[in-house]
Amino acid sequence: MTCREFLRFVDAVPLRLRSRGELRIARQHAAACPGCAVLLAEAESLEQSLGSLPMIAPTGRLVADVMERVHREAPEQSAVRRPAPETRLVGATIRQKLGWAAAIGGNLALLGVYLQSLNTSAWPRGVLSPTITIGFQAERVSWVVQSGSGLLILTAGALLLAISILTLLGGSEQPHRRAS
Amino acid sequence: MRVSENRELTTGNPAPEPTRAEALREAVAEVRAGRRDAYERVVELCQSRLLSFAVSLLKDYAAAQELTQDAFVRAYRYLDRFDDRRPFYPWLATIAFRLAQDRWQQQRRDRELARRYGAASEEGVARDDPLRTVIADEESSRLWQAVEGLPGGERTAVLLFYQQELKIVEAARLLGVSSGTVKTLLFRARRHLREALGTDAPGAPGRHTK
Repeated sequence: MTCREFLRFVDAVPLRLRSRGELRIARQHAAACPGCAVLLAEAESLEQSLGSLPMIAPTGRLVADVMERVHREAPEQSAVRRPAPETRLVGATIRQKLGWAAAIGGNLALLGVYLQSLNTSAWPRGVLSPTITIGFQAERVSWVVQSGSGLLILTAGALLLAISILTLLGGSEQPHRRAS
Repeated sequence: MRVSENRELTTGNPAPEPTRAEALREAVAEVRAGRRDAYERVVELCQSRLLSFAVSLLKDYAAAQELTQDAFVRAYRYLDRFDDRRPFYPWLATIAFRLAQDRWQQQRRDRELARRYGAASEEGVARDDPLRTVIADEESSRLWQAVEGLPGGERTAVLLFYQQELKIVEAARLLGVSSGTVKTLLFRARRHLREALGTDAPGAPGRHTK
């Protein structure tokens, strides 16, 4: 370890986040370098002092006052009504329902566009019945793109599908933050 | 007011005392299982730590005591939302911090109103910092003064990490920032503290590169 590396070691993160191995290497360097030894001593002293910042003892009434308010203000059921996993399950189910609803809506929209494209009277002249040739599929796609309502429904369907995917993938959101 | 006798909370050990953490976990589990009286044990185990945090944030003992009570009551009310895979205390401290933020906002609004209508404001009225009054030795007093002088974010990060003994990730969750931001805040805070305490003066021994 060089002095430059040592300086970075002491500065970068609190010493208590360092592993024993890292600290041993740093101490070995400090033992051979008086300048770095001073730095290490300073850093350790500062960490120790910060670790012993004062605590204040509460008055003897605090526990009693809190319990009195808990009995008065918080209803009996509040602490035990629903265990956390159940809460998460409920939240996730609603989210999933929304996701599935969007997925179904999106698929229906796309199906509508497809069925509408089967309406031969809307096609260019010369096409009398549906076929499965590539050329025919190209005509159909072109009809969907050229038709204003077809394009609108197609876009809406794609949007709903995208929303459903995002909703379902994001279903594992942590409920923890709601608490505060 | 006196310094807590529970000095084991202030030793700066890497992890909180396991028996205390275990006792807290058991007490919280009991409350969630329907034993409301077990909450008394939860309050006993957390009160000194939470009150010290509140005092550090508000610098007013009476207001801090009130905030501590509010935080405990609110935590009880929303205990069903607590994720018991995580430690309880950081969640409780987060509630206290949010309440303190609400108070700061209210104070700002009050000051603004007072300024607008020319009413007497408490702004500028010197209050005794309760923590300063319980620090006996000069060295700790200087350190506390230096911590007090830190910018808001750095000060809170120092309090959470060193005084409250929260992990980086817990402090980050409480502040609503990333772990990297907390590390940066601590890095800057240590640098500012060294400067304030005079241990990082230019030309101080050891500030060299090889």
